[in-house]
Amino acid sequence: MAAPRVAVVGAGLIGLSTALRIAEVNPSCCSITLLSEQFSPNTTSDVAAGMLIPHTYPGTPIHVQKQWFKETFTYLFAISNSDEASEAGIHLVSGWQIFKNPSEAEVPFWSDIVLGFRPMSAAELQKFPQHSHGQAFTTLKCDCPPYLLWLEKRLKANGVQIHTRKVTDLWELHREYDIVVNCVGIGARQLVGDQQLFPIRGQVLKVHAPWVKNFIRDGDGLTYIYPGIDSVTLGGTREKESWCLSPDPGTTKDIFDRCCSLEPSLQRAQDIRVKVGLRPSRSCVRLQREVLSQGGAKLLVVHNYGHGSGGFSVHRGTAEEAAHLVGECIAVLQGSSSKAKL
Amino acid sequence: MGTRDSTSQVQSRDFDPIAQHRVRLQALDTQTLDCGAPNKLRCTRGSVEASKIHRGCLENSAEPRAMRIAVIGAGVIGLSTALCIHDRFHALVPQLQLEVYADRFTPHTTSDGAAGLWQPYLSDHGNLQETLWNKETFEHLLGYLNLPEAKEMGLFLISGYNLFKQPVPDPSWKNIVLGFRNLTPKELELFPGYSYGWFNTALMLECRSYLPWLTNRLAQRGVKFFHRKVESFEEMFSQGIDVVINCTGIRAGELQPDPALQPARGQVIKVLAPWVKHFIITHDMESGIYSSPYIIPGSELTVLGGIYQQGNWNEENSAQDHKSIWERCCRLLPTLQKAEIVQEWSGLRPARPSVRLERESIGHGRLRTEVIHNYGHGGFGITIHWGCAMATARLLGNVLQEKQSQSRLSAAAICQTAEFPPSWPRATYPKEVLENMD
Repeated sequence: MAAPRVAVVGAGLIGLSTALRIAEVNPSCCSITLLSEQFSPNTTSDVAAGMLIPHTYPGTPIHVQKQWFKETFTYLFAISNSDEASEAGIHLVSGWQIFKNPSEAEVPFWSDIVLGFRPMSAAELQKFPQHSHGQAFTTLKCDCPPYLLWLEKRLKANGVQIHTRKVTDLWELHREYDIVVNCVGIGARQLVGDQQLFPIRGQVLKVHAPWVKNFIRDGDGLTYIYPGIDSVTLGGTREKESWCLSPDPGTTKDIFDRCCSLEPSLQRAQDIRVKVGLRPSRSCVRLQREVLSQGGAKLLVVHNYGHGSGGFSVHRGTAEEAAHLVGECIAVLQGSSSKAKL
Repeated sequence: MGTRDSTSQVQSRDFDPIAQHRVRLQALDTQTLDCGAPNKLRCTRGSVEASKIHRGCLENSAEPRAMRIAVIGAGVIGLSTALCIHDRFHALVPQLQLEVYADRFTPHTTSDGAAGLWQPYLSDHGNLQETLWNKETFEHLLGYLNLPEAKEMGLFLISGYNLFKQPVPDPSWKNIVLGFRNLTPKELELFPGYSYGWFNTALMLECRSYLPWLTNRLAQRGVKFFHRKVESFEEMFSQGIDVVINCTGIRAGELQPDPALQPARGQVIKVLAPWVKHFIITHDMESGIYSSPYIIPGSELTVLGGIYQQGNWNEENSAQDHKSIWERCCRLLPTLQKAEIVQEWSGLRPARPSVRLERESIGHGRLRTEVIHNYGHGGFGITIHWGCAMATARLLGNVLQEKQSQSRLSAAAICQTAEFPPSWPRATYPKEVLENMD
């Protein structure tokens, strides 16, 4: 049987990292093509700050989420420590998560994976008079576009073909490909009609404020300051079921004010750019196989979408699982092909 | 200060001899406000002695002469000391006139080349005074942190790592910085070759911004700047300077020899590496402070260093030092290999076993004048500057108090006593009065 033909649909963080993992795990036993309508800097991933601070999925066991986060953190930690770090846009950043309500300041499941996690001291909390508790730690940040562009470069080095193409129906790929990996993020609502998937709109500001070296995140998840390589991301909003991709000026002012109250020097920030992304939210990531068939034809599908706010934190872990599912699909194809030979 | 009429303009800085005359008359004679003389300045009311004393009293009660304080040096020490002095005294001593003299201003001072990280040396060698000054500086700066103008000052928080090859005692400043803790094993994996370390959050104060900020504040308050090299303390006093504040850093020896002051030459490479968000300072307990590689990210450029050469006066960049800094820093942080080199700079830390912060009376008799020294801050000038500025201002306060007492003897003895009879025997007049008489 000819080498199975794999198509990965979607060129955001999930699509690129999944395609890369498939190439790494299944070298030479399949051909891989990446198809996407949008590429960096126009994906949802480009809007996100890329902080490795996990979101908790209500529908996934904690030990699984922890495993995904650990794999992702370990992978990125190694890159951050290598001479590729600046090209890949991966860097360590330290800072604080602060709470107004002591009951919110629980120790999260990921506290032993990030570095140096500990409660904030009273002296540290003096910088935030509105907040009574906090946690200090060091984590990683994946700056986009650099990280996505670096992934694309790695894909090409691994022989992955990349094409711009809008896929309106997975079945349209059944003649050219044997296995399709669906990493279309929020696009899955339309592409596969998943009603459990819904957008949580996020508006952010990217500003020039290079003196901000530490991150600050309000435990409510709504206000955050994440310093990146060339800009600081100020956020944000969480608007469920909003599909609006246009920036809202009132929201811009509100985000700016909230961030300035945590870090007053931001009033001197320059070059303010506004971006909007739709977090592809779901109670759990859809990581599963599916078989599409029509007439006698079949198309094996692996879904890997619905990462919501937590894509960056778990992307390598879910890519690993998706690659494993692709391996299972390849085995199925090879099994049927040998059966066919009998 | 003696009796004064509440309606008189005693605090007026305008020289008004007529008004002053009325004040003095009141002190002498509560019944008459007008002595009747057509020309008050030549009033000869009473006896000859009285008129002389009376005129002497006018001279002494003229607007208080300007109290000229000259700060020599416009690095972080000179400018911050000037500002501290102005803050403290301008309202209390209206005749204070503050002047700054320097041959080098920002961005050409030693302070401008430094990265600007607030961090004392590892050990205070029992010098608790300096530890206190460091603490005062940190707390002073923290007060500005939550103001938008922190950015103009070049002030911001920064976290980072101090790395060692063996366990070391905690530093004197562990409770001054924020969130001080030891490094975890996983963190140490980032730094092969180092087995122990600290993490903490401290402050950066970039002098490229801080010195202009101080300069603007001083200029707004009317402090005058003079761009010239001061050759001697005498030069200042002969121009009418009352007190000199000596903040001349490494070149203090040119004004007064000080063998304890020696250069500790440093060289740094400034690169573009905006992905570096932490300072990383390594320590080699045998080679000594700042002779081991360090990486300090600023607001625009990241500073790479690790040179500390005692006794080397050379301010030129050395190719050998460049190579040493580059190789050692890239080994410490491999990602630096992709960083673009933007600048190179060398400077002389004004090293001394301890900071010289003390008064000294220069000259004698009528030419006796005061110098307050504030130099010798080594590689921790930014770290300690405000504590030293305040200590210098306190010493100046003592000097001003003493001078005020002296001048009070001349004016007060004559004018402030209502029962002053014109026929006192000369021998009982205060010395200053006798000297001013013709």
